[in-house]
Amino acid sequence: MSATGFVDITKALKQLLTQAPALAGGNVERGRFRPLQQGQAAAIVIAPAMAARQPGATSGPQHWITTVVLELQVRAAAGEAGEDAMDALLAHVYARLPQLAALVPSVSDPLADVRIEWEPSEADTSLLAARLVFNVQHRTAEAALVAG
Amino acid sequence: MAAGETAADLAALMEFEGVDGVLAGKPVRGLFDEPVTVDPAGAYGFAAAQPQLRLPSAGLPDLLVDAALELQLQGRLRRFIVRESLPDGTGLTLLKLGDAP
Repeated sequence: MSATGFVDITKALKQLLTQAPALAGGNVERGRFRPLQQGQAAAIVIAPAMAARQPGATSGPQHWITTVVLELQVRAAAGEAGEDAMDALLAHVYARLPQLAALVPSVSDPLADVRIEWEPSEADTSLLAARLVFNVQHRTAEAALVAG
Repeated sequence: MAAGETAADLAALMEFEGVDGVLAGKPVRGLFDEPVTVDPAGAYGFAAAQPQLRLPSAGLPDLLVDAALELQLQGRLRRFIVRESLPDGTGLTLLKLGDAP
């Protein structure tokens, strides 16, 4: 069975973020259960958060809005502020997201709505997480979750 | 510090396990430790080493944050800055450290 349109999106995002030059040193994962390891300076975790099918005709292509979360993590070098290290990663990630539509033909709008939340460590200013939450508009086939 | 441990106990322990260093230009001797803990920032957290030094409070300046500390650890010199200074009221101070720039 083909992957659903949701996994098409998260796989394509991984491809976008790891294509040369790979962002976050190539530490880009779809889902993760452990903290950022010592010695890793940055990482990106891709995870779908929610999908809502849009009201409309039940026959023909189905239109969806899927919320995707990219969790960005940076560990700044000694003497560098976490906010500065995050700034560069955030800018690079954001600049690649519009290319999602070219990679996944069923995506009509890769950045329908965007929100960024910064979550600094309370104990260590060299550690900073930021969550990039955005909505992707895409289609699936009639009565199916595979891309349409 | 374990409950009931005193500066006298620490002095004995430092005979064997203490490390020598230079804090804000003055020689010091204390107990070094570097546990790895998880900082909970964000959804996944960060594994991070937490270098720290426990030493007698006597003679330490009141303000130690951002002071430079050099320690001889396992035969090599490591440079830190003091992130937090936590006197515990029993004559001992815990310095939480970060790597120097």
